[in-house]
Amino acid sequence: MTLSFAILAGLTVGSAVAAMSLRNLVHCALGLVLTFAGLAGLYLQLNAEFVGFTQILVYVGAVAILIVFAILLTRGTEPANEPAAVSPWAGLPVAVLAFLAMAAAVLASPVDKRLAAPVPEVSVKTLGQKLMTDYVLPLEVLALLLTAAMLGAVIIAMKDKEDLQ
Amino acid sequence: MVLIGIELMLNAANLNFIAFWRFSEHPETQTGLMFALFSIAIAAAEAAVGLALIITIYRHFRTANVDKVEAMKG
Repeated sequence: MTLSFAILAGLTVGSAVAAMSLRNLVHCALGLVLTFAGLAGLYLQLNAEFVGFTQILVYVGAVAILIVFAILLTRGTEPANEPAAVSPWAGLPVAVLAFLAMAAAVLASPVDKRLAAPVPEVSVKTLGQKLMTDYVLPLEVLALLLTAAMLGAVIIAMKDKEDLQ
Repeated sequence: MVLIGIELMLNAANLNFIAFWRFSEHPETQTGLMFALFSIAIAAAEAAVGLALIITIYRHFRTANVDKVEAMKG
């Protein structure tokens, strides 16, 4: 465990907890952006450069902007800082259980008994070749899903306006 | 808030994919990388639909707080 990993992991976990526990939605969104950036750093450290940069582009760039837009569009009429209706501690047993299951699986696996694998050669070129050969069907399905999702989002968001006119 | 939670969970799953891929027996197969990439794309689609739903709910109920949206019937 290196120092940079410790810093990145602490940043990610801390900002994730902040994103979930703060009551001001704008602060939550900022914590979420910080979490995404920390995760991108972790990916880069795990030799997954392409996924790391995709994370930055998609999450820090697009999803964060979308969430900030939604928060800013839907606030204004709401009273600030009201207490949560559901106790935040209700999810704690579930989270602990999930963590224990993951930790048990990791400890039971032979991962820690051998040294870290040699740094795999992953270039964008090989990833693209894989996408175009082995994973071409998932890629096409994903393209269809994205198109359907965009159309569906526009239709859902426009419906009330059509009713008014 | 619900959307933020969903995004966090998807990202946690992605991190697991990448980490287990990196320390797996055959990292050259790149299965974990591919799964994480597809998962990121699906999460983007989910975020777009979710935000459209939020905006519709806000127009309808005049609030985006899911604790206050109690009626199944408009």
